[in-house]
Amino acid sequence: MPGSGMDISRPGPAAPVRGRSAAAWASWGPGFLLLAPLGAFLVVFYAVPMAGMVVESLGWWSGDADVRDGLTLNQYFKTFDSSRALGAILRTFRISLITVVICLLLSYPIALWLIGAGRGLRTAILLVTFVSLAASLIVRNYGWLIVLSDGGPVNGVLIALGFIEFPLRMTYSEGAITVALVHYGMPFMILPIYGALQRIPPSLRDASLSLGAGSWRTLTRITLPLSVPGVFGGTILVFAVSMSAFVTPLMLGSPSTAMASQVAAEQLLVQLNFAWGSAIILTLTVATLLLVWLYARIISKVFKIDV
Amino acid sequence: MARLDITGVDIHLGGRAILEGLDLTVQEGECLALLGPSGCGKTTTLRTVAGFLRPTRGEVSIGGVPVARVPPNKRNIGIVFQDYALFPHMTVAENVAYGLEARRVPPDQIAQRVGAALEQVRLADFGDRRPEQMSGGQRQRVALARAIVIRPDVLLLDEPLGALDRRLRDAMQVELKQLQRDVGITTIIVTHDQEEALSLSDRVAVMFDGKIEAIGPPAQVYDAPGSLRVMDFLGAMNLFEGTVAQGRLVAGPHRIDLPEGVRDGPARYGIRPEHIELLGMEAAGIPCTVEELVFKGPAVAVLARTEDDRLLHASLPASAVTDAGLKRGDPVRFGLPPRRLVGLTK
Amino acid sequence: MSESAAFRTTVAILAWTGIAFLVFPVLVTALASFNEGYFIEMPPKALSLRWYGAIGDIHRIGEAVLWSLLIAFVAALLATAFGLGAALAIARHPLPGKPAITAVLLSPVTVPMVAIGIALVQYFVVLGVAFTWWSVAIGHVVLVVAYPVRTLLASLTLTNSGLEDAARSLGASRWRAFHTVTLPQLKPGLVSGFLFAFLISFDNYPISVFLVRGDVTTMPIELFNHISNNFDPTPAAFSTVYILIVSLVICAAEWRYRIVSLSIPKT
Repeated sequence: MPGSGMDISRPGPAAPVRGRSAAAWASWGPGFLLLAPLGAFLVVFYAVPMAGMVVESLGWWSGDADVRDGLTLNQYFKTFDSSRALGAILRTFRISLITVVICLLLSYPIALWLIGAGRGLRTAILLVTFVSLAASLIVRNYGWLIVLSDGGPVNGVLIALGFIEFPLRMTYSEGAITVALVHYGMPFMILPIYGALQRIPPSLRDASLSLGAGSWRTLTRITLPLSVPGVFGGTILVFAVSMSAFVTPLMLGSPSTAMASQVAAEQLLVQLNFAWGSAIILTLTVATLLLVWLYARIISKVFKIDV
Repeated sequence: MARLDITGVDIHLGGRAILEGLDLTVQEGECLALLGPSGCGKTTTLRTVAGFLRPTRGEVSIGGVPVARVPPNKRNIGIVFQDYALFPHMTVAENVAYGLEARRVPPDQIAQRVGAALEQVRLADFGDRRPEQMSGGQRQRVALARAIVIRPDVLLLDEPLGALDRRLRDAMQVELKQLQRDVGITTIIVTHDQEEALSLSDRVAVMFDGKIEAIGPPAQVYDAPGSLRVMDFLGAMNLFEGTVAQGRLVAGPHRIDLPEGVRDGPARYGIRPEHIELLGMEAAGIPCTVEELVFKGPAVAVLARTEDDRLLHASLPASAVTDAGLKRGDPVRFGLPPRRLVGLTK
Repeated sequence: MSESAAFRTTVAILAWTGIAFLVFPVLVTALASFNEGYFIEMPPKALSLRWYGAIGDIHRIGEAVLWSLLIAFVAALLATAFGLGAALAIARHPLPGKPAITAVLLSPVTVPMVAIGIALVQYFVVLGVAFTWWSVAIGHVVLVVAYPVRTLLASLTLTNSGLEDAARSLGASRWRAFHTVTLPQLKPGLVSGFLFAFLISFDNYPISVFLVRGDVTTMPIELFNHISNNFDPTPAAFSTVYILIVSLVICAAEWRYRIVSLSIPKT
């Protein structure tokens, strides 16, 4: 995750065996004081509620077959048994993967181009990216509803060019969800990659060219490898955001394309099954974090860098 | 190695003319220093030779072949950048091999040539190290090895000694000169440091505002700079401006003997601090009062003020100063040997 | 750039395909908003501004926008205030396990928003304060606090803590030194952090939908409801207006405070 400092591969400095001295504790004073308000807030309104949800997920629903006292993993077993819940989680994973790949393919050239662009144009496109980031998700998804609708421009062009006779039903499908998620994720992918590319000293590119490497070799041997931290940050962010997708499948999907967050919300808002709903969403959360961690390990090993 | 010809080159950047009608020839195997203050156009010239800039007019030829329209990766040049530009994600050996791989040299040849290049810069056992594990001086040598292993026609060095500390710089000066001689590649060094230029090159070209104002062997440029700006840039000097009459320069109350054959008329002359002589109080010379003495190790900078309020800067051997027992406020007489006076244009 | 023309052209083509993809839905929405007819047709057969007038007809949209403004403002304010303390602590003071702390602080961005919504609604019900506007704001703070923290950290690395020390050596008190020397330099970080927190809170659906009921409602909720139940282009008009306003605000912030460079991740 960009900026999250999540380096699993690097443990913190070892504390001296005797424990830290009073002086060390005192020096942390001002830091802790400044951190305290946010820390307290997050404990009260984030950590505790999440813990509460974990407890909830280990309990029972009034509508369950045999309600008992005490903690149980029943809700989690149910999650893996239920074709709807499990299916949704697997579908979510699949859609997220495809989204990340397409998003990367579309975003990398943009970041690359931005590096070589003139200042005015570059600022303009960066601002467009920012507005994309800040514009309402509902607004953007609605835009795709129009674009992909029967009377929309995509069908219009396809019909005009004679590829099809009748409009294709593109909305309310996995494809529509994927397209909208790619669109949502692009700013999250462009900015970290651009940041990483910016940090490559231009003299490295010059050096590569002067040594006889053409533009493509320079891209693959120099630019690409050195931009991996940015690619990593972008892909993780887009992946995490896609896994959590809720509004997008709600607007552009159908009951048969439900993603995990939707199924969890269903249980909560419709069935009032807080226990199972919590379990489903927690399963999604843990799965996402595990996959992200795994990804980080793989990247570290393959590229021999610390992420 | 090949001859480099720059003829009538114009470079415009951001609407401004950086180089106009630049002409420069570097002979085969020669080492030329492009010396000048920042913004004088020396880096622009370097980048033009390298191929990163395309001249709007004029031509650049390497070995007689015009290359102005040829992209940098198709010219056979080696560059050592100011920040060395070593690829951080590759080992030393991979860095050095990079240019050979780009030229599709067979792998066994690559290994052999890389080894030879590393030996030449005395880094034979460092092949598996990474740039971040090496010191500044070592990195520079890797950059050098990488640039020369491809057997370039021209070698370009951008401020080669700038990032090194004093001691390393002196050592590298010698090494660099030897290496250039051994390899014999036509070389251009770009620098703003006159010591670097004078010590490393066969010829020095001093640039101001996109034009070469003086060019020649180091000693010649230093001793006979031709213009005020060049002399000033190349080191401290003392300036006398006035009119020549009967073989002497009349500058204020001073009558300075000049070398033979100087015509009458307005003139300007300069003399280096190290050429000023300390005379006895009875001798004919320029009388002044010591204002400041700055100890510099083997020499002492003596700053003395004349009666017409000029501040003269002399660099005298420490022994001479001690023998004369000079201190602040003492009267002295400075001698200006005619053969050391340098005629200057504006 | 001295790279080959073929390379540059290829990159440009690919890049502009992506950029076109990025702006396409917005342009289409804007076009659709001028559609005369009830059902959306591309290209519109006739143009009209009637749907802009119909924006007010979106069920409870006026209230919803006001609630959203209030909630977003309070959430952004709190997030920026908390974020300032946290960023200062991380950037300027020694603390144990900084990478871990930073990771935890920024984690709500990657936890599914639905999870935060579900957890908080159950929590607030138990506490008896569910479905108030400020409980929604609190939920948003948890989500958006990461943004001011990140932009302020970026801003702080650009400032020179030595300047504050210099001010104090000249006699200024700790507080005075801070608010006359450091705070002004942090303006870009504060503004961009606040701005993003505000916009993300304003637009939030997954957390709001769980925390809202009855009196309180938000713009995204009403907009979404309208879209789900109607097929007219009114939301297109609303969207166009919304994007215009957001664009103006962001451009103004960039022109005045140069927020763009601050928000580019430095890993």
